[in-house]
Amino acid sequence: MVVFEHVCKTYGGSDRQVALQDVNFHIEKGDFAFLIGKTGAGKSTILKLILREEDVTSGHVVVGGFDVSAIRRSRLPFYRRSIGVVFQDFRLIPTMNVYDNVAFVLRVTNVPTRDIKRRVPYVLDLVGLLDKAKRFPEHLSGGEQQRVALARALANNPSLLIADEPTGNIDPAMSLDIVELLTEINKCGTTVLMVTHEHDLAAKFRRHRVIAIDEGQVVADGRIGGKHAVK
Amino acid sequence: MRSSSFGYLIKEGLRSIRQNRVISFAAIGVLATCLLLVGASYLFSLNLNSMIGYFESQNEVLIYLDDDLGESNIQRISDQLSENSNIRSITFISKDQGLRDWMDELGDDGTLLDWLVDDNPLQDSYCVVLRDLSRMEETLAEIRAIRGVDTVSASAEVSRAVTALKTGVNTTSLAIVAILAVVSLLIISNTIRLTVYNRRREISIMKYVGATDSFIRLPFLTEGILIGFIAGTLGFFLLWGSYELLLHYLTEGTFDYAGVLLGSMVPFQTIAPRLYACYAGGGCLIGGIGSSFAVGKYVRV
Repeated sequence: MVVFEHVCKTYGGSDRQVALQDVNFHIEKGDFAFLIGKTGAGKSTILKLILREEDVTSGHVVVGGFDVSAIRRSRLPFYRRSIGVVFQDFRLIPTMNVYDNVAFVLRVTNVPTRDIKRRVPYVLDLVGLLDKAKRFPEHLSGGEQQRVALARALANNPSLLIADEPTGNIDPAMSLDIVELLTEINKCGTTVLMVTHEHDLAAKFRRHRVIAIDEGQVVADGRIGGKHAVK
Repeated sequence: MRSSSFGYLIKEGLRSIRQNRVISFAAIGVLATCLLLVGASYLFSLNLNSMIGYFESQNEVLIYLDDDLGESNIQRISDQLSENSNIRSITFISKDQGLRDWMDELGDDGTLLDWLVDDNPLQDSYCVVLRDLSRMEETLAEIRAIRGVDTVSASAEVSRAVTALKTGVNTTSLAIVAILAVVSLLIISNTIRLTVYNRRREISIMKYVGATDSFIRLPFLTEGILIGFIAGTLGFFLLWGSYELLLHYLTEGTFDYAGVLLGSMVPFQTIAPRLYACYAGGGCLIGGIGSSFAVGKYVRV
């Protein structure tokens, strides 16, 4: 599903800064993987490359069988529709209620109104927020806001779900709920890549794969406690 | 694009104006004022040209012919004058008619000229009115070159002054329109830029979920066009009101030339449909171009 082959990424002109060097990993369809590492390790760069916000300096990023660097700029929106993204700061639109926040992504991708009316209640039910559809983000807790963000990411029925520090702004109990919800979503066949700096949280889900990044390199890849834990 | 999506985009444009109503109203106000000034400049130029046209039509050139030309030569000269593209009208004044006119002008004292009837010293002449005073010198030269023309009487100074005034007014009007158009573009552009900035969160989400470039841009374009259209309509009615007020002031006014000014002023109703089309269309165009500038560099997938 997601393949990184000898990926290098360097930022800047004269003051060159190496963000990734020779990164290799392969996430299979239906996998759940944690991408862990401290701030500045290169996690965000990996997400930016998957979403084609940035271009690789060398190497290949392949998502869903497509070489991401070869996708024409005009086709990028259509590529991105196959990926759901959840952010640490939720990025909900404060002037829209829960229903409209989710429906928004379907509207901007040209989904017919009758399909929106069917799909939005379904994903809100999936994250357990159907009864709060008319509420505005400011009237929800951090955990609930993240659930709305999750429902929004799922609205387009993506084959890959990227969660960028989804538990960064919520309390530990809620964090567990969110990862459990992501695990449920993963069980339905969606590939999940969750970026986090919380090693402890990842350690609680021993069945999931962990890819550890440090100073732009993969330093460990496997399951915590498993025999391939350290590279 | 689906019709429901198109409706959604229009709704989004209106929502954005409502949400940013203070800045939107400010932009509409400033833009309407700019368009009002553009219109005022245009109307000033239009009316001045109309007045100049009146003076032009009063500016007759008298062409005195040689004595004893005979009817065929007089007709030939008339034909040659008719061929000149800068001559609007030609009137023949025979020397007998000239004398009668002179006597009429003198009224009761006209009998003083009775002694001239049998030995009329006047010449046959043509009175012509020119179309374009800026071409007066060359037209006079062409007339003088016609065989049978003795002298030509015209006031070149008046024509030069009128032409200079016309050119000056037209150039100034054009400069004012150009400057205000640029100012209007900047106003719209900055307003939309602010809206884009306020909605950067939505834009970033739209980009992540796969909205196309045009889908992201269109609500801003709609917003710009709507602001331009509203400002155009407002500016038009402000201009109309101000013009009618000016006419009212001139009607009520007691200064000496009020009558002359009123006589040659263009009635607003005659230009209203064309002017409104220009205002509404111009407003939309400025709004559209202004918002394209603003959105261009911020919204790139």
